[in-house]
Amino acid sequence: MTSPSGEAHTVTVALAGQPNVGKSTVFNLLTGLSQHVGNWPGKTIEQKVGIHHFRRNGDSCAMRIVDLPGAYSLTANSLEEQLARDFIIAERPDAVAVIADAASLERSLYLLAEFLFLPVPVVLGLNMTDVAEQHEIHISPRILEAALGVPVVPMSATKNQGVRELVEAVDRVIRGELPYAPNRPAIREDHRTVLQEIRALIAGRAPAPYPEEWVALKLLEGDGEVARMMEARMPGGWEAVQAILTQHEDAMLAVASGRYEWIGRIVRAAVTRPRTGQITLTDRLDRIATHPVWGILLLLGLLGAVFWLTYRVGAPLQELLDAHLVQAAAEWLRGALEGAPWWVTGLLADGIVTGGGMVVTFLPILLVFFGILGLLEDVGYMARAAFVMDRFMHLIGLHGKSFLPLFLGFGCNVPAVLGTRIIDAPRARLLTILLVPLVPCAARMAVVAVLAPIFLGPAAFWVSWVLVGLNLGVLALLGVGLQRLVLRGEALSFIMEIPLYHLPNLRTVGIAAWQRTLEFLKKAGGTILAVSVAVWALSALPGGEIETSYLASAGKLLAPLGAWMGLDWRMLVALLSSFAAKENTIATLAILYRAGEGGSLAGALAGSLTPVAALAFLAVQMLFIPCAATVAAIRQETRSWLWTAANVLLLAAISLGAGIAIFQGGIWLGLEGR
Amino acid sequence: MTPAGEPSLLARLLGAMGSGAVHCPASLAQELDVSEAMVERMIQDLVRLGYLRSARPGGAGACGACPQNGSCGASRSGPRAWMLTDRGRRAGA
Repeated sequence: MTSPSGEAHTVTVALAGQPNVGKSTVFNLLTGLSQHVGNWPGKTIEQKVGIHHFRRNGDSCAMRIVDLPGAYSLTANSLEEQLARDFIIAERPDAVAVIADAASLERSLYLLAEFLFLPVPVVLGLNMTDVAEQHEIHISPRILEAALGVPVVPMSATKNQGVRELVEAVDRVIRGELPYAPNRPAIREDHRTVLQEIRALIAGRAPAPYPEEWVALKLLEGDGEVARMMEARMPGGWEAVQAILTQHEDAMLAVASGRYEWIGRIVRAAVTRPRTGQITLTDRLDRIATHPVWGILLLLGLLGAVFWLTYRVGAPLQELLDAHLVQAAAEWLRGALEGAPWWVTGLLADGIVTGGGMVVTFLPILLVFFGILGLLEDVGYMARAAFVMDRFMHLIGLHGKSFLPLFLGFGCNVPAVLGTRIIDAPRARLLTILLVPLVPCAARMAVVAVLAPIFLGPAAFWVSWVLVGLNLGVLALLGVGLQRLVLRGEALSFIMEIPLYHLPNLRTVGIAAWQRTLEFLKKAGGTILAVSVAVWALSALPGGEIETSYLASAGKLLAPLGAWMGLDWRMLVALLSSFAAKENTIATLAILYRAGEGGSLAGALAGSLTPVAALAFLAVQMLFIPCAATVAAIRQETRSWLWTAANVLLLAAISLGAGIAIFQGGIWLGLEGR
Repeated sequence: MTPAGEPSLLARLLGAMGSGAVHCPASLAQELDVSEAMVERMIQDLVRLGYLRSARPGGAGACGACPQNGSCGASRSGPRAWMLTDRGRRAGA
C-alpha cells in the first residue's frame, strides 16, 4: 500500500493505557506537529490522531497513531473504556501499543489482560523504567516477554528513550517478524464449566468481529453493553444465557480473580522488589504512627503540641488584640457617645464592640490552630490519625464505620451528623448520630483555648489535653454501653487509604487556615453578633443594672444548679448562650463581666472562679449540648423530635453531671479553696 | 494458579474485610503477599464489580449543608475508605 504522501506503507496503531502512565508523552513524541485533534464520532471526548514517519531499510514508512482514551479496563464502565474497546473491535487497527507504568506494573497488566482477548496484536511499552529503578523495582523485559507471550519494550518516554524501539517492535509484529503468542489469563477453575456453557449458547451468534470467548467473558463480568448486544441477536435463546448469569452472580469475581492470579504469576516471575529489610521513610514513620499503642500516644502527643503552640503563639496575640483593639474601641466609643442615652452607649460599647469584638480576638488563636491542623493534614498525618483512632474504636467495641463521620466532627459536628449517611444499618447510624456531639469541634476547642489560660494559667495546656481526652473517654464509654445494648455482635471493617508523607505546601496550608478563619468571621458577623446584642439587652434592661436585669432574674433561677458546680448564674447563662454558637460563651462572658469597662476579659474573669470550679466549667462547656445547627442536623437525619430531644437531654445530663462530679470531687479531695 | 479449593486473591481480600479489623492497602498487601499497587487495583475492581463501595463521608453529600463546606480539609482531602457491600459480605463469608 502507498500512502498519499508516497510512503511505502501506512498502518494504524492504537495507543492504549491507563491514565497517568505517560501515554500522551509517547503520542506527542511519535506524532510531533502532525496531530489532528477532534472528537470521537458523536461524543464529546477528545480524539487525537497523528502520523509517525519512520524509515525501514531505507524506505519511508508512516504509522497512523490513534490515541485511545485512558482506560482502566475494557468493560463499559465509562465512555472512555467503551470508546477504547469499540475502536479496537470495529476499526481493527493493525496493532495496539499498550503503555504501562513500570513502577506499578500490576495496574497496567490488568488492562493488558483484556487486550489479549481481542483480535489485534499487542506490544507492551514498559514506560517509566527509570522511575521504577529509582524505587529499586527491577523488571526483566525478557522474562516479562516470555511470560506474556507478547513483545515488551522498556522505555522512558520523558527522556525519549525506547520510543524508536517501540515503533520498531510494533512494525515487526504487524509484519509477522516477531513471535506473537499471548499467554491469556484463564477464568478461575471453579467457573470454567460456566464459561463453556455460555460459549456453547452464544456459538455463532456473536456478531463479527467480536471474538466469542471475549463476549462470553464480558457477559460473565456483567457488561451491560455486551448483554444488550447479545440479547438483540439471540431471540429465543437469551433466556438460557440470562438464567446462567443469574445463577452465577459471582462469576464476575471468578473472571477478575483469574486475571489477578495471572498478574501475580507474571509479576513474581519478572519483577524484583526491594528486600523486606529496605524500608522507606514512610514505612519507618508508619511503624510508629499507625501502631495500635504508639500511634495513639503519638496522636495524643501531637494534640498536646497543637494546644501548646496555640497557647504560646496565639494566646499572647489574643491578649494584645483584646487590650489594644476591643477595650480601646469600647473606651473610645464611650467617650465619643458621652451625653447619649445610656442604652445607646451600652448597646454599642458593651453589646456590639465588647461582645462581638471579643470573639474577633479569637483570630490569632484560630489562625494558629487551623494552620497547625492544616499542616498535619498536608503532610499526610491526618489519615494516620484516622487509622489509629479507628483501630482504637474497634478495641472499645464501637462500630467501625462510625469513625469516619465522627472524625469529621473535629472540624464541625454538622457534617459529622450528615456524614452518618454512609452507615447502612439504621441502629448503628442512630448510635453514631447520638455520639457525634461528644466530638469536640473546632469552635469548642477554640473556646477552651481562650478560657483555659485565663482560668488556669500555666496548667491550661495539660487541662486542655485532659478535656479532649475526657470528651473522647465519655464518647467511648457511651459508645460501648450503647453498642452492647443496641448493636450487639455487629463487627464490620473497611479499608482506608494511607497516603505517602510529603513536604507540606505552605501556600495550601495558609489558604486553608485563612478560609476556615473567614468562615468563622462570617459567623461572628451574624449569629454571634445577634446573640451578643440580645444578651446585652437582656442583661441591661430594664434599668441598666445587670443585677436587676431580666437576664439576672432568669439566671438566678439556675443559681442552685450552678452552686453544685461552683458557678454563678453568669457562667450558666454563658453556657446556655453557646446553644446559638459555641463561640458565644466568650462574647456572653465579656458582656456579663463588663470586660469592656476598663479591664480585659482575662482581668475580669481572673479570680471569678476557683481552679476546681473553672475545671468544672470547662468540662461542662466541652460536653454541653450541641449548637442549634447541629441539633437541626440531628433532627433532619433522625427524622425524630423524640431522639433529638433525648440526645439533647442526655448531653445536658452528662455535661452537668461531669461538672458536678468534678466540683464535688474537688471538695471531697480538699482541693477547693486552694 | 490458585489450587482448586483455595480462595483466590480477591476472595481472600473480601474475607479479610469481613474480619472486623481496619485495614490499609499496605497491611492488606502484606497479608496477601502482593504489592500495594496490586491491592489498590483490586480495590478499584471490587468497587467496579459492586463488592466494595466508597465510605468517604463527604462522598455521601454530607458536607453540602455544612457552614464550613469549602474550607474544610476533611471534605476535600480526607482519607478515602471503602467498605463491603451486601454482595461483598456474601462473597467474603
